[in-house]
Amino acid sequence: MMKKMQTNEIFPGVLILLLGIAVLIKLINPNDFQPNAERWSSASFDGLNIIDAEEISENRGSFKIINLDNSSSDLSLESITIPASEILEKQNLKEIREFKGSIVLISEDKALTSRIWMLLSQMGIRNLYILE
Amino acid sequence: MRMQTITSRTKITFLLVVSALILAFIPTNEKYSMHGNPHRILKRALDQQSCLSPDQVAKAVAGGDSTIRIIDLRSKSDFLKYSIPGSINIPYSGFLKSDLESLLNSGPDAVFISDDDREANYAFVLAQGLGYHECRVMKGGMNEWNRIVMNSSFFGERISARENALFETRYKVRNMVNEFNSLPDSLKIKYQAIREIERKKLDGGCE
Repeated sequence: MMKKMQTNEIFPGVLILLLGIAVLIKLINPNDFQPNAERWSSASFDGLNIIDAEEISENRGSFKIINLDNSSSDLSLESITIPASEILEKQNLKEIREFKGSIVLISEDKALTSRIWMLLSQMGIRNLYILE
Repeated sequence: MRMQTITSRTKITFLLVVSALILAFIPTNEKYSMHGNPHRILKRALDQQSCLSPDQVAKAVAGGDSTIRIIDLRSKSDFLKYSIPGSINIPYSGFLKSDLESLLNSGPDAVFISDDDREANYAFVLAQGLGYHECRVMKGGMNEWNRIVMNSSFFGERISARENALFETRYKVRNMVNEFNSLPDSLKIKYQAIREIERKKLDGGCE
């Protein structure tokens, strides 16, 4: 009877704990898509996610350029090259998320920058722009 | 008393387990939230096969290819001014409010077009993330379409068979597009409505 009682107490407790962990992981996972796709794509509806070189030059310190395909950039700003295929690597995502200013994506291929912008935005990355 | 306690505890446990399952695994508003593995979406985003050239789209239009469905993401006014015959207009700003299930999950592959590459590619990623994998983008948008299909000419003394076929298709589509766009807006809208009814019939929908 005592043994049965203990099993009845421990098993549900363990189950709840495991499910609780699953819930937490799902809710706080920064490398998953955020709910409400419309909210995270809203900047693209009015072109608010497009930025020009002049604006970047005026506020040099607060922008970081991410070059998705080794394309040349005339902007003499802090920039890093992250091939598009590696943009979701943990280290790269961490660097993007931890940067306090705005991130600007550049590439020779406009389609590529648009796709990567949408992908990263849907993962909850704010202050993300595409260079016009 | 002890038996009643165990039964109550079991009930509470069961309720908690069910609540946790609901929280963890049943999304509240899946229609508007991207899901799936971001790495898989990235792989699709980098796939060159997901882009069609204007010539490939022109060939499909000229041949009445029913395996593709052109979705024009430009504004309604731009669409009425000038559009590809047979295309469906869903302005990008209303893309996520439209009936994506019937548009993207019913037979033909969707081909997104916009003025240039931006909006079509945004929509492509959104569609992929919402579970609609059978879609592509026309590279360069209507700008490239106009440059290559509508306004290009052959300059040279000799033309290869391939080039000849290419220019013939372009010429045929040019005529189709110009004829269609010379119609008054009311007739264009009627044409689109008829196409929509036919599409829904093929999909098994009601008029």
